[in-house]
Parts: sequence; structure tokens; C-alpha cells
Amino acid sequence: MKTKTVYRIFVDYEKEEKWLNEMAQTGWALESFRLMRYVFKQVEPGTFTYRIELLSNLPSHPESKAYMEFLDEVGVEVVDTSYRWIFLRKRTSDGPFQLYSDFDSMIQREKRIIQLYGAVGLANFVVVVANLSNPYAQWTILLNIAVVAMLAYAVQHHTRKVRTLKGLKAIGEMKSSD
Amino acid sequence: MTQQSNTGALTEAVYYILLSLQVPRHGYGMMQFVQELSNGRVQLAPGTLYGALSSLVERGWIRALEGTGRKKEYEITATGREALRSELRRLEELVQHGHEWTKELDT
Repeated sequence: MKTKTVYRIFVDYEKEEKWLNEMAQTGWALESFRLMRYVFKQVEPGTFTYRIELLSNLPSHPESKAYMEFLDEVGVEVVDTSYRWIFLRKRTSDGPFQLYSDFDSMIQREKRIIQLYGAVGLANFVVVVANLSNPYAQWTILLNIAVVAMLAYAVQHHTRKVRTLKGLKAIGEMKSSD
Repeated sequence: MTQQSNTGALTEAVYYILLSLQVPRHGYGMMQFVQELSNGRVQLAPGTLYGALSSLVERGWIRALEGTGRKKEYEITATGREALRSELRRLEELVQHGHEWTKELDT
């Protein structure tokens, strides 16, 4: 079985999810993930649909375990976990794969993401400020600044998404086919 | 924590979950039932279903059945059934009003 390893960095999970599905469309299905390192296995193109989920707790937490067990029961495979992120896939032949079919859960998910990005962004910002007068850290600071900028953009993007979802929720229920 | 009043309209997901749990079912069974019943219009996504089941158990409207094989099964409780009935009354009122006030539009 052919495999392929790709190294990539994603700041926002949405782009990552889109990329994983594009890879799956061309016959490369994600098998494992570890810090920038994606390992793909060659399968029939379009066999799987991928989704990325952010858990409320670490995967070892009983609540997370119960959720992942449930996903397994309904035909969703947990491909890999990384910190609180989990990579999920479902066979495309089993129908469309969305994690949520109501606005409230989607809003909750966006809030978890905003919180995480905010915390990571803040930590990077602190590093930048702490190293402003450090002549030896000039270059690493630039990296931190870039991370802060990208996360700030992502937070703004997801905040806008929450606002849109709340607006839609005020009108009615989500259509399942969407 | 059981409360019957204090809730307005049920979400479509909760309404259909309660309907499906008149008989014990596991998660996948609920998804199948709801999809077939609504001719594919309502599809419970796994994350939504899981979240709804957790809050319904917490409310005491449904309960998890002990030791029923590998897949966890759920069943509606008396409180849940009461909530379902009162929602049905609310829906009937909505439908009745809808018909009354759109009659002239139809003709």
C-alpha cells in the first residue's frame, strides 16, 4: 500500500479540513497526524469525507472518550487526535458527513475555537512583548508576530461566523441538506 | 434535574429524538428512524445528536439503558413523554392558526 508524507502548517482548521478533503478526492486518505506531519495512504479517490473537530477536553478525558465512542457507533472513524483536535472521517458511500445539523452546536463549536485561538495568540503576544528588548530574539519574534497576526485574523473570521449563525438561528431551524 | 415547564418550543432535533425513543434505540437507530420518517428532510448530524442526548439525559426526559450490548441504547421517560405531548399541543395550535389565517390566501 502506497503512503505519502506531507509537512504543512495550518493556522486555521477550516483550510486544513478543505485540504484534507481535496487530498481524499485525489485518492490520498489521511492516516495519521503529528505536529505538521501528515501521513496519507493511497485509496480509491473520494472514499472518505473528513471533518476536524475541537473537543472541550483532552482526548483522554472521560467525556471525550464517550463522545468518540458514540461517533464510532454511528459510523464515524476517529483517524487521529492531536491535543484537543480530532481528525474524523466517514465513508462517502454512507452519505454526506456534517458534524452538526443545528445552529446552537455550531455556535458552541465556533466559540471553542475562538477561545483556543485567542489563548494561543495571547501567549505568542506575551512572548513578543517579553522579547522586544532582547537583541538575540529579533528573528524568532518575527515568527511570533506572524502567528499573532494570523490568529487575530482567524479569530475575527470565526467571530463573524458566530454572528451570522446567531442571525440565522433567530429566523429558524437549519436545513439538513445545507 | 427534571423540569417540564420552563421550556418553550422544542428544537426539531429534540422533537424527533423524543419521537424515536418511544422504543429503545441506539444513536445510529435514531438517525435512521428520523431520516426515514421525514423522507430524508431531517438528518441528525452526529455532533448535534450527541449534544442533544446529553442534555436530554440531564433533564430526565430520556435515560440510557444499562448493559444492552456494545451500543448504548436510550429510552424516553414519563417526563419526556409529557414534554412531547405538550409540544404536540403547541404544534397543533400553530397549525390550526396557520390554516385559519391563510384560508383567504388559498382561495
